[in-house]
Amino acid sequence: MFAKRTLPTIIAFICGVTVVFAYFINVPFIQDRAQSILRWQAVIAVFALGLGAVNIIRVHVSNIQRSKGQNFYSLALLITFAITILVGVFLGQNSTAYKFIFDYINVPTGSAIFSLLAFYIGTAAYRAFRAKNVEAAILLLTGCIVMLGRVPLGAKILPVSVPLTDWIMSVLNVGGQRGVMIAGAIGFIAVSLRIIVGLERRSYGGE
Amino acid sequence: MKISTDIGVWIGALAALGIYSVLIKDNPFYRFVEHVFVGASAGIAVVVGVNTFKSTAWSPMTVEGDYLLIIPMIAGLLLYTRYFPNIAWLNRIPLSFLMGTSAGVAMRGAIESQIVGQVSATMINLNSIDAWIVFIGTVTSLSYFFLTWKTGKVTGVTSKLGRYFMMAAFGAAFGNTVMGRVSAAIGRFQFILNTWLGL
Repeated sequence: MFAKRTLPTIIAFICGVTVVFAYFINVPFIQDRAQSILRWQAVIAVFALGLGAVNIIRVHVSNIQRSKGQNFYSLALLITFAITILVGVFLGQNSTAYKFIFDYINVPTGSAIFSLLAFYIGTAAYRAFRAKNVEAAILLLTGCIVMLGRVPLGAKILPVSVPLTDWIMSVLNVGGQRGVMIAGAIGFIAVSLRIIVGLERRSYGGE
Repeated sequence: MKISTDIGVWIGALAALGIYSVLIKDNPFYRFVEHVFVGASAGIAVVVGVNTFKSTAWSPMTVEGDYLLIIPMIAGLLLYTRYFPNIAWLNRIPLSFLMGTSAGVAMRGAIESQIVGQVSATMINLNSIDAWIVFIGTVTSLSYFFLTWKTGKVTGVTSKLGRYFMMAAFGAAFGNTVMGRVSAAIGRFQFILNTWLGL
């Protein structure tokens, strides 16, 4: 019971408190321990990344087995995954083959996926942006002004949109975002404290 | 019109077309490109992880003689006990280490940049109308999140004003996001039309 429940709580507490104290108290012993903890964390995080890789392999091998070799997509994923790792580990990150995968597969596809949202967000805005009340009207108005002010065509259609966009971004946006940011940070600190003192054991597999 | 003869450009352009083909409907071409992308991205993450492991753990241990690093390595291996039900509980040890440290780091970051940094940036230099608007926006937006007491006359007005400020911020964020995504789409179309098709 001690090793299963209490020990993980003690470890989380010691690590969390040391790292936080090192920020506020300038004691060399605590600073050194915090540095070691952060260094160890980086090492363990690498193994956690490997866990993700193992899960990808398990899921897609199981897909292929269930479909009796018919799941062509999972096979393509596993082949690409294996080739990228072999090339990156054995030929190095500066090799031509690795750069080819990065520049001609990863970057263009990632960029296309990123830009796909432009189409969805446009149709979503068409359906969602209805000035039904003051809040919705403000959202619609600022969104439209910023969109106009950010493109050369918008400046031609409505010249005042450019300075207005700058003002919205540096004044209204900052005011609203800061409130959200500070409130979010307070919530974040509360959750972090719960983890450190062991009230949120589910985050590391406890009950 | 001079179509590119570079195999990389062809792959990049076909990948972009494959992704955009989902705008019509889900199809095998899109699913193939999507799976290849996930495979390549996950592979790149693993390669970065291997290199990080070499530079932060393996080299310091074997070259500099920092043998204490064997402890986080063993702890890291304990993460994989989750695949063995009898000893799966052992993975709680490295997880608690990761969660406790991450919570501490997050707390430091939240206090430093999101509270102290933002509050001091709001409070200093209240010497213009814009600075006062930012100040009022911050205070009223914060008052919207006071949920521990019932909204009264004053707090009702401030939280309503805070909501207006937040809506303006969300609208601005939305406009910015749209423009960011549209410029990425323009970049891809330029790649397809200019670099690939040579138009």
